Amino acid sequence: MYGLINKAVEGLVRSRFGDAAWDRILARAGLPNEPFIGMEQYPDKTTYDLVGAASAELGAPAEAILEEFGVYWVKYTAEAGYGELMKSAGRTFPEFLRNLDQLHTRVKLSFPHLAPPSFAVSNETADSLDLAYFSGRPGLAPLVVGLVKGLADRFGLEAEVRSERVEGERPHDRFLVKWRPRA
Amino acid sequence: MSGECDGLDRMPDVRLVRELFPFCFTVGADMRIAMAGSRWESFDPGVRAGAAFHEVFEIERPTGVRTEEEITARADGIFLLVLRSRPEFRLRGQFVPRSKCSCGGCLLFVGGPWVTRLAELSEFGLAMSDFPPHDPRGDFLVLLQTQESTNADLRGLAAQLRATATALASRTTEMEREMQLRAKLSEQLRQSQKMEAIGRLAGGVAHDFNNILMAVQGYVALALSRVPPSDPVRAWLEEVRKASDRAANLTRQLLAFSRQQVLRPQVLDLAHEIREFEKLLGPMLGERIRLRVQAEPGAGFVFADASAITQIVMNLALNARDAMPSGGELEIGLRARPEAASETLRSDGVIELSVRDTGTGMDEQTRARMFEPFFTTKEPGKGSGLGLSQVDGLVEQCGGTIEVESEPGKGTTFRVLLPRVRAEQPAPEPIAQPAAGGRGERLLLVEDEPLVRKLLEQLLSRAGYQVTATSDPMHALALSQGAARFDAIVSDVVMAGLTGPELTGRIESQFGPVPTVFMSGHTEDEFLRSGAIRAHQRFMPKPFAPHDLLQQLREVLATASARI
Repeated sequence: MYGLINKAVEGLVRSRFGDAAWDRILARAGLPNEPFIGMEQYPDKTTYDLVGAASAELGAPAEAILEEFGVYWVKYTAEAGYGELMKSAGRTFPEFLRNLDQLHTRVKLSFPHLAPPSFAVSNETADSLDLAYFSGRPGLAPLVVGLVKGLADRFGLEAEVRSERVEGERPHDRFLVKWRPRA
Repeated sequence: MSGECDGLDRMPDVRLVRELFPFCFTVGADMRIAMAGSRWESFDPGVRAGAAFHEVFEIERPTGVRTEEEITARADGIFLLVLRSRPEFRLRGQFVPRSKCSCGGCLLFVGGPWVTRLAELSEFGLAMSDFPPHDPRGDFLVLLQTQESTNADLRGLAAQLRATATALASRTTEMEREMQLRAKLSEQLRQSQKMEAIGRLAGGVAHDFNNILMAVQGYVALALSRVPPSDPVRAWLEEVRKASDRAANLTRQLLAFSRQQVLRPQVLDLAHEIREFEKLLGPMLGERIRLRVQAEPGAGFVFADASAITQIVMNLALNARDAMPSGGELEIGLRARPEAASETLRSDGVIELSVRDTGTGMDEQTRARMFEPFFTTKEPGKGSGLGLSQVDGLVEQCGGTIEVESEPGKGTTFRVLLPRVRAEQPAPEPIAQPAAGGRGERLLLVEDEPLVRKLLEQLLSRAGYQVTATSDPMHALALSQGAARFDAIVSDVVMAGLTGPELTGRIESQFGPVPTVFMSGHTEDEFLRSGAIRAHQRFMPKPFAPHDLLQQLREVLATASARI
């Protein structure tokens, strides 16, 4: 994964739990205490190790950490210089989700080694849709839950996300997304 | 030509073009828009079928192109069109000439918004969805955005690197300073250890030397008291006395150098001191430095310690010498100045003692720090950096101040201002005539140096005292326990077994205060420095003149009300 992801994990930990917590997590993950570089590629293991160490250090399940990270990622990318990209990706929450796959495809132009997940929207209504998530990386579905919730928040909405695993020829996760204006 | 081509009914493929190029349009032969792409309606309804092309758009590039013929002639080039209703918005694309258009009657414009920054999308109310997947501009914008972010990352990293480099540089400077400080402290320690060793050596030599001088001076005094003035032997004895005085002075200077001198301020004729000093100074300055002494006659007296004055002049003169490596002139001046000295008692104006050289001089920075201890501009090993700080301290102790005038290349003048005191010219020292003798009082004399003990025993007995002498302080203690009490004690300070003060302390704990005169060739005795001498006690540094001892003895006996 690109360093941008690890930087975001770092940003989440530092902002929520302080610099000392991040130092401990790095030490626990056996990683050197040096800055991640956004455009540099790191092994997927680095990110998994970070999440594992954060889970152990903060005493929270990895799923919770990933979901929290998903929410944070939306905010982080907007603040980390990708705000305009986020703005251009959709004028509404469902439009954004529809464009999610195209957005990842376009981003691959800048991150040639990116192995982004794929998304597909179906069963769209005025306040719900189904989002299919295809990824070669296991265990990241909670991250997408957080991501969808974070995106809804960006549009002033509150999203309820239910996930289910779809097995078969193309196994994937499906998220049943329902939204309403934020209270 | 108008109405020949509506752009829709006779061109079924134009529907597809409208979707693929949401910002496309066609222009008829009358230069009116025949068809507008799907996005125009929501983006700018002014771009609609029937609107005059030139009223809606301005061709920015290629320049000078206006008519259909001109457009057709440049149809293979890039066109930039400015939307007149939003001049900041441009379309980039190309015109398909009428001949290539399937309807055969229209110019077709295919292209899209000319956007160079992703931020412009939101400014124009556009989104990525306005760039169909086939349109690479969407990718181009994303690429721009990520590169911008990467640049921001790099700027952040560069800032971090700069901060780290600054921190490192600062730490390095700090460490260098620390190392320099350590080296300096180590050098200071070495220097102070050296000074201490020299001091101890000087003190030890001075002690023994003073005892010997004490005996020489004492016996000379006794001899002189027996030799009539007409006897030629008297002149020889006088020479011995002068020689021993000079030796005593040398000892004092040695102690002053090693800073072991206990300051004993007295009324001094500064002109006399300077003249004496001139003899010493000449050889120290070397041949390349010309020494001039300008002492105003009758400049006056100061109340100061002679050795302190010696140190002050010596330090200033040696500094001046070092400031004139190629030689020059050193002038020592002395004159009275009428202004009042501050914080002084018995002050009668000031005496200015100046030391002027024609050396390298000092800049402002050096002048500001010159009195700091250990500050030196000399090469390592050439100076301790203590000279001027000692001068400063001594002048202050003497109640004086220092003025400095110096400029690089123009030499330096130090002016030491000391309070002038009224005093008579000291009377010549009486020679060996016991000024005040005893009246049969019983004296306990404790002195472990046989030469001195024997001399004092004779001197005091001859002066009319009953003297019991011993070299051993423990024996002295035993003697004091005897039936007969002593009226006074004359005791050495540093002795094996018990020191003089310890001995008298023990005796006094039993019998109360006993008039005592302490004498010592050592000067580092702590009890002297701490001012532990009490009213019925006196201290006399060796060597001293016999009549001084008799005088001191009479004084302490007079203060005594108690007897052993």
